[in-house]
Amino acid sequence: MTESMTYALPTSLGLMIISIFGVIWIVYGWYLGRNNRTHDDFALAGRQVGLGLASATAMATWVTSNTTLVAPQLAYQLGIWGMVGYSFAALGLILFAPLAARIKLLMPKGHTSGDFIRLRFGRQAWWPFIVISLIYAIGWLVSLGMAGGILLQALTGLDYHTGMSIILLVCVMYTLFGGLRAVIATDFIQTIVIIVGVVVTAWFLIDNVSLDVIHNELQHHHPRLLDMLFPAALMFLFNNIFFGLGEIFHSNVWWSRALAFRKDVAFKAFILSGLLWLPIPIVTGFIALAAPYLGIYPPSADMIGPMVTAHVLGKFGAVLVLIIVFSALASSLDSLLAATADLITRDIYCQFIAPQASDKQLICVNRFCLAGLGVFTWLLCLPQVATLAALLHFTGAFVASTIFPIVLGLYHPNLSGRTAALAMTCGSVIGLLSYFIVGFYVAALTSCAVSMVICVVGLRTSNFSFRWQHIREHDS
Amino acid sequence: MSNRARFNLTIILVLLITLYARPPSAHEEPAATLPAIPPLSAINYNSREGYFVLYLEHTPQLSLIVDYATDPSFTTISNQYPWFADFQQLTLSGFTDGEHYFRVAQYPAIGERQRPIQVSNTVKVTVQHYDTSLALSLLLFGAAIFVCLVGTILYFHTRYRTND
Repeated sequence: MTESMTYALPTSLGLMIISIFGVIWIVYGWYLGRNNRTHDDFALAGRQVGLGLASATAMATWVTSNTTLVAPQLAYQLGIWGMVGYSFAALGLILFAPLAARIKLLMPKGHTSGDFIRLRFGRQAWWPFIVISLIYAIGWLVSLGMAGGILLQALTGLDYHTGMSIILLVCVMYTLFGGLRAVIATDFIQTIVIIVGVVVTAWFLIDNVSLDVIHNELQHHHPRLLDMLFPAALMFLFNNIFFGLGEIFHSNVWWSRALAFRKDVAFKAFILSGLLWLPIPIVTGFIALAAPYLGIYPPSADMIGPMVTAHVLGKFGAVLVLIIVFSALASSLDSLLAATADLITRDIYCQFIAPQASDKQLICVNRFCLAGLGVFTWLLCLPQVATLAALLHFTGAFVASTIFPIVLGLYHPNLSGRTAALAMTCGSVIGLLSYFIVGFYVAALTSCAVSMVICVVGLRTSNFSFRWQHIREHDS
Repeated sequence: MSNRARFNLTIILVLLITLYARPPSAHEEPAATLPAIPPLSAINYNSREGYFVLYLEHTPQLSLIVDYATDPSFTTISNQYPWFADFQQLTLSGFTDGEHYFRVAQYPAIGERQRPIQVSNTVKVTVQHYDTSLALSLLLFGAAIFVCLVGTILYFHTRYRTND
């Protein structure tokens, strides 16, 4: 094998780094979780999270395998527009800011996004919503688990299954011990690691490889990557925006944060985290454009980011990438595990099995759900069925259908439960059909468009009027 | 040393010399049998996005290079891509409309890529990008929905903030 064909780090070193960080996160999670007394402490961190931690956790959760692995993948596949288009996902955080303020106003003691949908629209809309939420949560969890395995394989040659298992185990363990309090605190540290790491990587890359030579190489051998009218990239642009909006607007990951933040903090925290997040995909995506000049062609497009960084910065770079991506993965995996376990506990266990469950029982069930989700995700990650981007965009067909029902449900009293249910169901079905018939570029776009049309028609013909007081009464 | 002992030592030495004596051909390195390059295929022979994945049927045992040409006979090799480690696939991107030909080759050493030792079968990938007018229509359609959404959120946020 030639020099260009070897891995950036020895397998033993990669394993050692992951083990050290894993032990630190688990011990820290256990330390933070010692004072969790009630289910509110465990699932919503006592509802008193301040601006600094709030912004950091929102940003760190959104910097995930998507940003560190999929942004370079899209830059490698779709060029400039893939990279810039991906950064527009920051709009999801920014546009969620007013919604977060509204959520906090309507249900200051609420628990989950499912709670709101049930109280606002009734059971008929709650069912499609909970199905969409669970499909999305599992899709994202699987993509994160896969990303962990791919990362370790690309950098150290460690078997995909071993790497994926280690990363999943670490995240399940510390979330299990510490709950949302541990998730938010580790997110804060992970944010600092991610920002410093990304800035150092970009600095070294620009210092080592000039923009001119990258441009020349792309112009001669991969001209479409520089084309501002690249058709697939143009089609991807708004689809990606709606996918990002759908992910944030419906997911309990973000609702639980809005509910955990202090009332005066929610709006500012989401705006700030969106602005901080915006340049990160540009930096992580840009490094992929240097790949052809460096003679790096990845086995799978989602491996390109770590491979280029490791090549340019050598062993130091590989260690840096390993730490950054591991932090990014952990910060999202823990949040998603915590939020999904909470959703299952509150919306399924509390609603159908034990409505009178005590705090102690709820914490116990929440932990059981967390461990179960970890095992389920591990099983689904075993066969590496698709690339990360393909897997994520599959869920886009579902989540984009929730955008208009949620926005109008939070503000417009005339949107009925039947209309919301119809909008989510039809949007998801037509989005899925578009995904399979046309491609992932149109799945979220068509899903959102269909859902919007149904909501608008429903509002025009509605004689239903919702009393906001109903949510407040139930909440208190 | 007695005569008997000297005799025995001579016999042992003669036997040892005989034992190690081999024909000249035995001193040459045995001819290395090169592992064959696995058959090459593409996961998607028709691409609408300009990117595609080349695939080897088995894990490669050799240091390989992918040759790219725009004609099936490879009279001019337009570009070469090193195959990464022992993975079975390689992803390429940024290609324009047209027919693109690929083969995997083993070359003697880096820098001596004119004469390959062995080459694989040739794979043809056809790139036909989506129509630009279709892409622009979808872009405008998406922009229109996005403007509606942002307008709705801003309108209600301002209205309720004033009321509250």
